[in-house]
Amino acid sequence: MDTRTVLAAVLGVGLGLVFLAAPGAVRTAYTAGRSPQDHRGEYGSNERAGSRYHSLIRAVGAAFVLAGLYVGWQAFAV
Amino acid sequence: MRHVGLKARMAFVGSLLFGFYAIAAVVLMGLFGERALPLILVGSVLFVGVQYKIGKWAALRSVGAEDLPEDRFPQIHKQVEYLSTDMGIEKPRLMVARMGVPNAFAVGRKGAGTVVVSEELLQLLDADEVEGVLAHELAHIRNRDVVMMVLGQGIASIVSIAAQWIVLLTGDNDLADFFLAIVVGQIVQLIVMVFVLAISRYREYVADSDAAAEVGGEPLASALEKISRGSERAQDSAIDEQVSALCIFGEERGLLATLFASHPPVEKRIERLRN
Repeated sequence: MDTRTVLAAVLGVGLGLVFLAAPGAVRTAYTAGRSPQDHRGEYGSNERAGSRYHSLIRAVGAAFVLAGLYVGWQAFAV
Repeated sequence: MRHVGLKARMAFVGSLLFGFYAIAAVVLMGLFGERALPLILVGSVLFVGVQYKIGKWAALRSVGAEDLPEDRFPQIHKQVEYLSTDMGIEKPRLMVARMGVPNAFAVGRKGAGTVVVSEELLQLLDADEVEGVLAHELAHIRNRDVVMMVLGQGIASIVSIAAQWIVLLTGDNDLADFFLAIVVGQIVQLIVMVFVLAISRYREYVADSDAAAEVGGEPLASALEKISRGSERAQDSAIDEQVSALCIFGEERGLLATLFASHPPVEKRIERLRN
């Protein structure tokens, strides 16, 4: 069993779960500095939950989880 | 000496970010040869510069910001003029937008800054509370907070790209390696951003303290309190209506939300402003 393949599977699923669990945090991490953090949501707050981008981030998270599971399955199948 | 705490933290995080960047540059030089150094340096500057320009343009465009007419809002223009002179910066461009929520933000840098306020914020707050908010935004411009965030995000992206290349060029180029490269790149970017966002939260406190030094802490504290009360009411009703899945994840209070928050908790800011 290839270590890198297992690593890809584990990290991929882990990253996907982070995207699924905390889309707001992920969005802040990727947009900070690219657009002002204040310009979404209310003054003085972090971006509010339920932003229109959160579904997209969760979809990317689900894709990471599925891809991770596929890579992991491949690793064990070989 | 002004903001000793901020300078100490910036020295630490700045060194850390430079360290990350230096490692990325050395790795890229190792992969593409020493002749790549000028390309890496010029590319980095261009990368950050383009992010800064596009970010400013996109932020103003995304909220449909328009110039704040001086004949309709003479008091705000006077307040900003007075505060800018007091803070030793040029008066920034003032814009207004209909954002659907009370909000204000600053973009740009010292000498070319723009402050945007929402119509909802102007309707909700008293004149002195608006002044507190404006003083906070001007402090962001004076302290070059926007530029610092662009730089931080730029370094995070460059380090992430370098990490991807390391994984790609040390593997067998099979599907798992491509996937590992993408995942490692994203994880590295998130890790670097933890440091950048930690300093961002601290810079919020500094902007609050600068605003308090100009107009006193109470106006901004009162503004934050007023807005957060309205926000809680709106959130409660929204939760009742939808029983949102987001509540299940508890996103607003979790560890990740805390680590990746760009702002400190409003209650803490209010408390500091009042003390």
